[in-house]
Amino acid sequence: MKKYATSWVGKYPLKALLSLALFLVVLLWYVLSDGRNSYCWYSLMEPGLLPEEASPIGPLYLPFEDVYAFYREQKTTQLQANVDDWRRRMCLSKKYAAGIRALIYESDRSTLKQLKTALRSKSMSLPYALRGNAFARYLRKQGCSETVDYLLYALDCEPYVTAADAWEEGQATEIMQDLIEEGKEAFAKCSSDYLRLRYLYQLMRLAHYMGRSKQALQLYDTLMPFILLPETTVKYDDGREDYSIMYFWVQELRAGALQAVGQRAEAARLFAFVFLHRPERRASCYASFKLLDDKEWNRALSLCEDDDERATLYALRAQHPDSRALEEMQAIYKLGARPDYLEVLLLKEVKELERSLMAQFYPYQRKIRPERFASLRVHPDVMSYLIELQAFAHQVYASGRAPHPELWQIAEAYLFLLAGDYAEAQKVLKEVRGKVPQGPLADQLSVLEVFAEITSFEAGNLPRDVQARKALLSEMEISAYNLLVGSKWLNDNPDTAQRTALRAYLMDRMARLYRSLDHPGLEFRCLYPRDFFLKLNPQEKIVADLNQVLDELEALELKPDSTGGEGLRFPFRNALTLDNHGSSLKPVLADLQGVRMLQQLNLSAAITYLNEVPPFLRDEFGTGIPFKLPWEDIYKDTANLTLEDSSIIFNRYEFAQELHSLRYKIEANVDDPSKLYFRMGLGLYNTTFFGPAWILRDNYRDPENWKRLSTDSIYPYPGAPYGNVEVMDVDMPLYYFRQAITHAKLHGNYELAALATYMAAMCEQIKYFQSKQFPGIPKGNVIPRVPDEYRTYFRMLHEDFRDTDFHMSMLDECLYFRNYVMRTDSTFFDE
Amino acid sequence: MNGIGLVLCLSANGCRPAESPQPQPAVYRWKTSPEILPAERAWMDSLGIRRLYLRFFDIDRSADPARPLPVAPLQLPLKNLPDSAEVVPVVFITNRTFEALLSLDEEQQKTAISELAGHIHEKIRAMEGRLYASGGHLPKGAALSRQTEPAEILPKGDKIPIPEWQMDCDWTPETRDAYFYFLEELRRLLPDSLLLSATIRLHQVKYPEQTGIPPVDRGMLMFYNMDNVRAADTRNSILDRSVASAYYNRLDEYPLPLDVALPVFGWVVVRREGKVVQLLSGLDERALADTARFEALGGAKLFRVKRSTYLNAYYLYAGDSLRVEKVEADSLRAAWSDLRMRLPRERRHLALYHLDTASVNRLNHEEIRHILGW
Repeated sequence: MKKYATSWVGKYPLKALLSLALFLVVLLWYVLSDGRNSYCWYSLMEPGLLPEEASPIGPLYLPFEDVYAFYREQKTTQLQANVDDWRRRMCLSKKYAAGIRALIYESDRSTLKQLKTALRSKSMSLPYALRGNAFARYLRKQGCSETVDYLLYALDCEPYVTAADAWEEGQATEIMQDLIEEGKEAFAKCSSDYLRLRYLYQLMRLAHYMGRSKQALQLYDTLMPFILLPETTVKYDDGREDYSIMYFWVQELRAGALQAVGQRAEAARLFAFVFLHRPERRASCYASFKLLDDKEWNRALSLCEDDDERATLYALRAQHPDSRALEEMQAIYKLGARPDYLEVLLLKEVKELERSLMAQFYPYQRKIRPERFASLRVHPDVMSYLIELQAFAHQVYASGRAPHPELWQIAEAYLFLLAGDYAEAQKVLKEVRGKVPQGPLADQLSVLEVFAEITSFEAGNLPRDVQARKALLSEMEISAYNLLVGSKWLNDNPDTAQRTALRAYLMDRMARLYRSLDHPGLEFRCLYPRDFFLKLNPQEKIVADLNQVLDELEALELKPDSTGGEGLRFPFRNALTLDNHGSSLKPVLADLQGVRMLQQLNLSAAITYLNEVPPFLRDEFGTGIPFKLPWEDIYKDTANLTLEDSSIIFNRYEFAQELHSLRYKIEANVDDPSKLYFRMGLGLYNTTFFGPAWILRDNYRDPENWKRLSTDSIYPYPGAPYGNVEVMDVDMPLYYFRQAITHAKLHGNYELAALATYMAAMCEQIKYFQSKQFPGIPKGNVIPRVPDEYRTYFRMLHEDFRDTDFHMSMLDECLYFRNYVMRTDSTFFDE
Repeated sequence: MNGIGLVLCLSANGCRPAESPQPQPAVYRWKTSPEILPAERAWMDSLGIRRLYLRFFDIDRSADPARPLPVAPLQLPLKNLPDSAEVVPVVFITNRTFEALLSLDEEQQKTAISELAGHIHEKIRAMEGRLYASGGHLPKGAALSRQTEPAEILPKGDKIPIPEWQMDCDWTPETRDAYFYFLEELRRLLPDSLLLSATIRLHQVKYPEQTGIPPVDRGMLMFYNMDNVRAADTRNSILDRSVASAYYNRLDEYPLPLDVALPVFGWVVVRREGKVVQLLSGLDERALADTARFEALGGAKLFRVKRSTYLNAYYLYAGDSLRVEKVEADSLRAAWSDLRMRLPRERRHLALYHLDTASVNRLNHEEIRHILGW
């Protein structure tokens, strides 16, 4: 065994052992996932590579669960934006943010009332909850009683202007209307334009939540003229003075109201306006954006005040998950505005094409389940679209106007790859390599480079000349092996989806290469590296190929090697021919062949193969008790039934030898062969699907197959390309039991004859379960009714051996038999 | 009758089984808007429709799998609701609602499903109270019994009776147990006098062993959406006689009394790059008559978008292909003719799906009266 384990690493111990260890770790990952993964195509583009400011549309790329997380985040962002607005309006530093947040979002009405009182009288201290609050101290110092009045009003409105429990019915419209009246009065009394804007926001919210869009618009039209917008601006941290977020939030409410009353073009333009300026409102603006027809679209465009707004309108339309966004991208590009939108849309479109094309050009486990890929024919429109998008990406990159030209170039290369044009992709990747700074884009480039390298492992690239071919193949294997165990990028980025995809792709690509080179065994090991899959239904061509590869590798090792690298010439296949413990597959293959021969009862061949399994491994591959008698304890003392010890544990090799020996003795015409026949039948019966020692003639047994006995098929093991085999034939044991009955009767051993008859009856019953007549296992604890033609041995047991002790014992122990006797011989029990 | 007689008789169609009693006309309304438009109301009246299956709200999963939420409730009060009509509140529950519930452990699942039944019960009750502007509507179901034949449930007096509630869910073998448990829980909350029904899809009638029989008083067989709308070679996914024939053979074995819903709707199927990306409801070839934007590809069913354009609030791109699917008078006649022969003889409601202006304009009431024998 040691010979196998160390055969190729022996010469280059340290480096090779480390590589091997790493390979095995990688293989283990692959093994644990059964060589199959949850995704159906390799996804290599990472949305996270976009610059932060250019990724406003998260939900469109996210799965359902993440959308909620995104919106939760948006809510937090919105809250933070509000806190910042207050802070900036009052020209406060960031250290006030916590206090503002606590005062606005955590104070109750009583605390705010106390604060208001404290503002009026210097002798009053701040409420207890706000004593450490810098913002409260600031308000007091500045005497901002109007602000506190507004906060009190906003607090009163809050329960009515947030999404209610969807299960609750009804609405407090009267209270809300009262609040609107109260707010209007407060608006009129308030001297601050900034606070008036905030009052307007609350009033419109109330109208919105009451479903009164017209009222919301009236409030806007009536009150907005009383707000001097220049007086409401805030000073941003970068020194810029701009509108307060409240202005945009009011506009969004207005947009919603306009949409509700049918002024969709006006609404769309406003949604675009808010989307453009307020990141925290982008998700809701996108969700609300709706236009009915071209007329409305054109009107919305004409209402836009600048190209940024127009570009935003296009971006909103293009963000629909099913859009063909190139049209909008071209329009935005033509406007020369908002290049960040272009980057987002580029990524969206590349991801879409990836979804359509990856499985086509870089098939994932395709060979094994061809039916799953039958519908993956690429629609011609997809390829046309890819070409158009690629041309556009090139145009943008070449124009020199793109803020991140490398992104466009990387996309161009990836589109080449998706189109199956590996050579062009390589060219572009080489060109862009030197230009990309460290960061997400560089990582993305590395992914594509690895992908391109893996794609080059192609039999078509091999020359015809035998030596040159061998040399290049060796290079490919070394590269593939090094990629898997030594790629810096693959190993430095352990948690990315791309790494998982690339590793799976590598195994698939090597499988394809080996298929082209007519190595079915290596191909199988790439796709199904777990030994278990090899054992389920071992195919002769696979086993033979693996044996041949092992022989070749061994021969290679034996060659004199002056270069010191000869043994690593084919490290990938070398690793594939190791079992999951890191030892050579040879013993596993010998065992597989031995088991197959045992299934066919080719005992000499089975012994030859199993003899090749090192003795210390034989027990590991499976042991059982093949000669165990059913209900042994109840007749072990029965006279004349002196069978050989039935509790001996056998491994496969020993079992094959025992069967061989039994057959030899039977053929030698011994005086009374009845016990030999019986033992032979028992050993075979116990090692079928139905017996306790099935492991001796099989590697996997699926009990679910009980449900399919009457069909010609068995349940294939999920994901196994050739399913699994079950040893279901009971004809051979039945033959030996019949012989045992005949000879036992001849020699007057009626107890043994009765026992053999009973075992024959078990075989006969199974044959009924396997017949088309069997309607299926009855529900509940019900004994199935077996037709009389399948009860010949029960009849024999009852009629010919009713005087045996065994017969009596079975009436007590076997409900099937007892049931049979009760049904066919109703007076028997009376006797 | 001897064998030969039976053969002769069947071949001549002379021994046609006696037909079922005349079905009671009904219609579904599947909108959230708070008004039955005058044309729709006139259509209902002229067809003598006295039962309205009214979609109250949908139920969908939320971020918290234990707490599904109502979505898009019907806006109430509902204007133009006929005084003399019965109303059956219908709740559509997405199958993924139950899939989400399956992620909970068994005890949590049971609790969440019971809560869901309780919530739905309360919400329907509350909405029933707001059907009319006056808010004075009260269900009269208490006067009816579960054993009452549908035809006997007729409105009397000035208030609309609510004789039945209906749950609509396209359950799967995986969600079956959860959905059926939900139905049992809801049933428990209802008085015996109020019927609980469930919608039954065609495949559920064909494979009852796999899909199970919902524990309700009646089923509503939805005799539409019978073919694969995503397939390029589908002729009419809504109603296709040749496809329907595959579902007939076990109709009479179904253990629940069945009402029937027949389609009167249509849509335009939008395909982009070989994939269906949108169904534009309520549209037919008339919406594609503009030759500057659309090109007919033979017949009146297939079109190609010539230049990108908005249609019914959806943006179509040049190159998109469009397939018109609608229910014509002929196909409706054939479907009903085939179906009535195979359904068991019993009293039932025959509901049209669904009430909207496009359907009203496409199929006039005279035509429907003639087809359905109303």
